[in-house]
Amino acid sequence: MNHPNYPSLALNKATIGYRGASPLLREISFAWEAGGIHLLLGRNGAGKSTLIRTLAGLMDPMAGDVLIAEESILSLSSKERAKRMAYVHSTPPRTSELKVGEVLQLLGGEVAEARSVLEDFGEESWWDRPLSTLSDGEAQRVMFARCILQRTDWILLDEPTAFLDALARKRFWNQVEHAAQLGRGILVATHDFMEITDRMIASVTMVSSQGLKKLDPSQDPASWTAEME
Amino acid sequence: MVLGLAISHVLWGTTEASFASWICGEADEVTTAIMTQIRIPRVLTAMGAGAGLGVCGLLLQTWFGNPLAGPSVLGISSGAGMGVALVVLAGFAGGWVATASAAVLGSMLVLFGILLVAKRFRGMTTLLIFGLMLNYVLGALMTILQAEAKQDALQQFVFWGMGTFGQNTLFLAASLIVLVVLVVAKAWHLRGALDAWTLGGITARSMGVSDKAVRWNLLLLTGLTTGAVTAICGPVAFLGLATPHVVRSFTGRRTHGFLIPMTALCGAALALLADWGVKGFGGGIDGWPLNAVLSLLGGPMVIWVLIKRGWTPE
Repeated sequence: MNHPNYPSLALNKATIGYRGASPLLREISFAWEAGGIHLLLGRNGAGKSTLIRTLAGLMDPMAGDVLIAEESILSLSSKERAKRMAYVHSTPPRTSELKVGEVLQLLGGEVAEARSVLEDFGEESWWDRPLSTLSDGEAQRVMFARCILQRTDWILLDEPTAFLDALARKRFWNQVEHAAQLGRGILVATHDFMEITDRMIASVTMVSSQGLKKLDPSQDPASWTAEME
Repeated sequence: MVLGLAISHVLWGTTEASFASWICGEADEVTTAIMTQIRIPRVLTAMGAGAGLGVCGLLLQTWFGNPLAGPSVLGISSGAGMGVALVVLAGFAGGWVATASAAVLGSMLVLFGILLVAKRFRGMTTLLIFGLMLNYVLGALMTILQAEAKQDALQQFVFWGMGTFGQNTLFLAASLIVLVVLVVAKAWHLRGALDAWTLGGITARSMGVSDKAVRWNLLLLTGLTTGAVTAICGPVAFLGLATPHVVRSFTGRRTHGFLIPMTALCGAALALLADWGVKGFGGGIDGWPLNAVLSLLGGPMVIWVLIKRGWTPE
């Protein structure tokens, strides 16, 4: 699943971790081609979330660089960066009382476009509901809808289904697959990969203290789990 | 509407003086003096303080994602008070410029400190306890300064500490209004970023909101407003915390484009109403201390918010 028109996302000799602590990953050079769903697997504490945040430009690498379409994201302003990549946090917002329609129009979105995305999700009735009245699963789907409206080439998801029940997870992944079919590159750190249709999976990457390792996406998911050990 | 009502109310005071005759230019000297030196500065000061503190409260509540944040609760007003105490009690000369600058600096320093450590706090309780402790420490320092102060400076400080909208010149009152209008305008300019911020800081940043820019603006706007209001009116409790909740209680709209101007208007109205409480009760010339009236209103308000939301120290 190679889309030459879409930009790749890459690490260039990047050392990743929190300042003041020892690095989680050292001098990693790695690339993801856009389009399809890219899985990031690994044990808890392996550094998946930190890696996703670094790739999303939400924290700086300790050394090295993050490249989107061979351009350093460290040189981009917050606004420019937000045009290139969107992000969904593992915890859905629980206190915002903004209405769903307002969330979808944040920072300059158009009404018609926002409405049509919500329609695609089959949830037009949410438009006037405050976000705080939705369940975690519903709120996460709104956050994903918002990402789609950000019109980026890449959407980065950090364990987006961690707090969702089985049905909510299924609905969430359906939407993600739909977005991937439309050509968005989706990089997702998750433990819930069994629910993703395997034909949509473009790559599988294992994160561990040894670094990043590509696995065969056509293989049985059980073999990926075996890699963790 | 609320605002218009409140303004007209305060234009009638304890001494008989006709606003109409003053406006028409038919008033005697006494009436003119009462209007320009007492009532109009007082109304302007109350409105400026109420609007400014209300909007600061809203900004702090949004930034910290904490419905109980506010300039007085977090100790920012105390920081300003500490600045005033240093100038007044320690006997530095310099008049209102020195007092106001010290107050602004004090409130900015406290807020800066809070912003530095706030990342370590999870949940709204910790932040509030931090603010409470800060209030204790600064209060203790002020008490020590009082114990060491000279008699006349002490008197001036104690009087200031009760809080009032009524001890201000027309020039300073007008300056406060100008400052608050600028602060509200800048806050409104940030409305999109503040809306995004309600989704969580990291999500807002992923949407292109610069947390640095918002943080510096918060520091500047809140520091300036709280400092100026505290220097002029004394420590004004609860207006910053309570006003956004009053607005939220009568509307379901939560976008900052709506909340910011409404909070400013409502804050101005609440301050005028509280000043009615000050002027309407009490036997003395100055009525009840403003801070007592505000605490009587504000304390129950916080409890009401806690009960309504349920205490979830999440």
